[in-house]
Amino acid sequence: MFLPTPWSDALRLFTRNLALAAGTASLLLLAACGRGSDATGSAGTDPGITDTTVKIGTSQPLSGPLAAIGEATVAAAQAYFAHVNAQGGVKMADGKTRKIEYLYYDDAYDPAKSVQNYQRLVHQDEVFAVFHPLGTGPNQAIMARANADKVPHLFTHAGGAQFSDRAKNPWTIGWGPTPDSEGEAYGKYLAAQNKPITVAVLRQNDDLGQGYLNGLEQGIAGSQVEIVKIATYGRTDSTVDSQISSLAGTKADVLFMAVVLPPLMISGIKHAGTLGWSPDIYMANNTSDITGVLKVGKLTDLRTLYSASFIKAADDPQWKDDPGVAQYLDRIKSFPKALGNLVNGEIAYGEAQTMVAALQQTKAPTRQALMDAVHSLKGDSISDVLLPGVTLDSTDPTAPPVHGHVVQHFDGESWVAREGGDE
Amino acid sequence: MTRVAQEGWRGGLAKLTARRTTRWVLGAVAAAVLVAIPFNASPYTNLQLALVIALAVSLRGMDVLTGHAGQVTLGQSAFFGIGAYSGGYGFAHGWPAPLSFLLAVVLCVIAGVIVAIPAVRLRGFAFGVITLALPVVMAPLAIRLDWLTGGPVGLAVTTVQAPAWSGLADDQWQYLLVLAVGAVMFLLAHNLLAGRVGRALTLIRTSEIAASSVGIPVQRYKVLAFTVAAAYGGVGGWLYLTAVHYIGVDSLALTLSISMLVALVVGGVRSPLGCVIGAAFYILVPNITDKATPGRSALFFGVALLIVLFVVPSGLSGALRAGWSRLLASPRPATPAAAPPSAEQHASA
Repeated sequence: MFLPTPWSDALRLFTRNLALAAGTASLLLLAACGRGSDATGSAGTDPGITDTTVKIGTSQPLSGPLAAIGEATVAAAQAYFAHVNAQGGVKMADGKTRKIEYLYYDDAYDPAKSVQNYQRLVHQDEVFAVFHPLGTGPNQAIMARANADKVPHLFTHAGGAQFSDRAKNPWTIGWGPTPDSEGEAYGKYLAAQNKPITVAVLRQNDDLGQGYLNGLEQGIAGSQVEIVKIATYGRTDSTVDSQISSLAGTKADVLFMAVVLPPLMISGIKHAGTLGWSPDIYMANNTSDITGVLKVGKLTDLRTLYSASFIKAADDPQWKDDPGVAQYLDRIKSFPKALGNLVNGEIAYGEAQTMVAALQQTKAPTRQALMDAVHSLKGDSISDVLLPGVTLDSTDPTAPPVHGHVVQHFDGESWVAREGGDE
Repeated sequence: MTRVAQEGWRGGLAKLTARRTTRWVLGAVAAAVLVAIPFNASPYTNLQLALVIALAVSLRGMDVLTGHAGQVTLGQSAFFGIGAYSGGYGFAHGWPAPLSFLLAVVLCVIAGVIVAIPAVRLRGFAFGVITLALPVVMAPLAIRLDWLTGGPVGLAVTTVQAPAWSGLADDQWQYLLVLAVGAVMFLLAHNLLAGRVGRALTLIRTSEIAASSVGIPVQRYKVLAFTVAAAYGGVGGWLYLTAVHYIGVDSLALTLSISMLVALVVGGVRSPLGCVIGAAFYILVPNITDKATPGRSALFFGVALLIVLFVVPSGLSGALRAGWSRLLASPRPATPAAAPPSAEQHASA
């Protein structure tokens, strides 16, 4: 091979001290191996829990584009734990009452930072369990380590089915239903109409968007409902107008907006309107909240909006006298960042309630005992922000604890439940 | 510059540090400390130190191109990503570690040469903008090639594991591996820059016209510097993956490239120590500030950056050097021969 002068020069220079370097490196490694017996061993008792406190920690995006969601998630969990601690703490099944210490670090939605936060929480702060990290990537990165370390990785604030697969990752469990099951709820609802319906789909170009689509396809299998066109967008896209235009060409009866970014959800729906296309629009639950999406986007006049939910949205007037929602709104008063994203805040509140319920049933101060309790959670009293008809049951080893979606129609003020939904 | 012997402890210290044996002893002590750290530190500390070394390797490559050859690059995170994905793919498919390491280097060298040959014809801003295209293309490409990269979710893998005979925990072993590879990379860079190549790059930085007038093939040297930077970026990325066990597009945002350039400037260009300090600044400062007020780490990072740039524009390593020579220089005017430059004298008042 032809080597120009600088290259041969470089090669020669590079290799000048190579033998020396290799020698030094291997000497250093040998030295390291000599001290191998000093390697730290694990202690006999489980860290993060004393007779009076139990420490849990999380990693959230507190800076960057998802900061508002991360802050709402932290604030709502803080609100519930503060309430529990104000009552003296959580009375666990071993007879001791412990206060909850809740630690959180910023990962800016960078999974590599989530890993660092995990290491910091588990090996430095020595938390008892890792609680509701946000996002698919961050949880994916944490899951392998948590299962290797046998550290409970509980109630992921991410819906992926992989987080509730007990055979593969026994120390990890999700919370809210998967995107697959949400898509399936829409599919079943449409199929139950028992007439030919055409559906156009706009989804995110990742596993989340694929999950919604898979669920929809499962739900409509064997029915007269037909998917006529699928378009995708990327998480960093600033508009979906061209996708909407191309979908509008199908004149489909239904537009499934499996879009999880509020600005794109709003601009997409508006663009469909400007094209003279007025399908029934099925909005992903993530981005269908009244305050943050419908009111901000001035979509409240539309009567064609549907969404499937599992929580009683705190900003929906129909729940304003509901004791669970009223208590939630009361408790987050001292943690106003929870208002920054009501849906995620309320989900985090439900996760915190589930966490406390799991601790109440933990029979010994060990991580294994906590996992046993987590895996046997069942009952309507665990969280009071779930919609009627939605159940919490963590005994199924292949599904997240929260089961069921209620398909709702927006009537101008409230999301009203429709018959024929899932479960 | 050789320092004139001075009276008192300052002179003694100066003489001592100028001696070859002293440097060897100091180097050996530093190496021993670095090797000893993982045995007393938590897995969290080991992970952080490994990340600092991985990033420092990447910065060292950037330093060859940006610091020595004077070509500002914003593309380093792309090579970092190629290295990390090579490692991720290799580990996910059960390849032996050296194979994926080799793949990381080879891919980055090839990509580096391909990009460098047209890019080096441009100068200044235009060159920087061309390199900016690399990380911009990187993320969507990684999402498209999901069979290779795990798509938007990324790859979570088990990397190098400590062999049973060593009795070490995986994090300790990984730290030592990263340290050893990092040390070799720093030595190689030192070798490269100490001789003719280093001089040629310096001349290209100061005046391309002068360089070509004395017969230095400017373009070829620039391609060389770019390729070295790419290879170092790849090695850094591979080391990073080995420590973190995860690579995804969320970790490879455009801001990573910019942060690398910032870290290099903060640490100080044309200095191996500067690369390490810059990497430590990037990795450790947010973690420290995050302890105080979670979510405000970017703010503190920015403030710290401004302070560094205003107070010590030559970077932290430059500040250390200046501080050291001020310590050695006698404050009395009796020895004007050894007086440091006036700026430092002024600051010491």
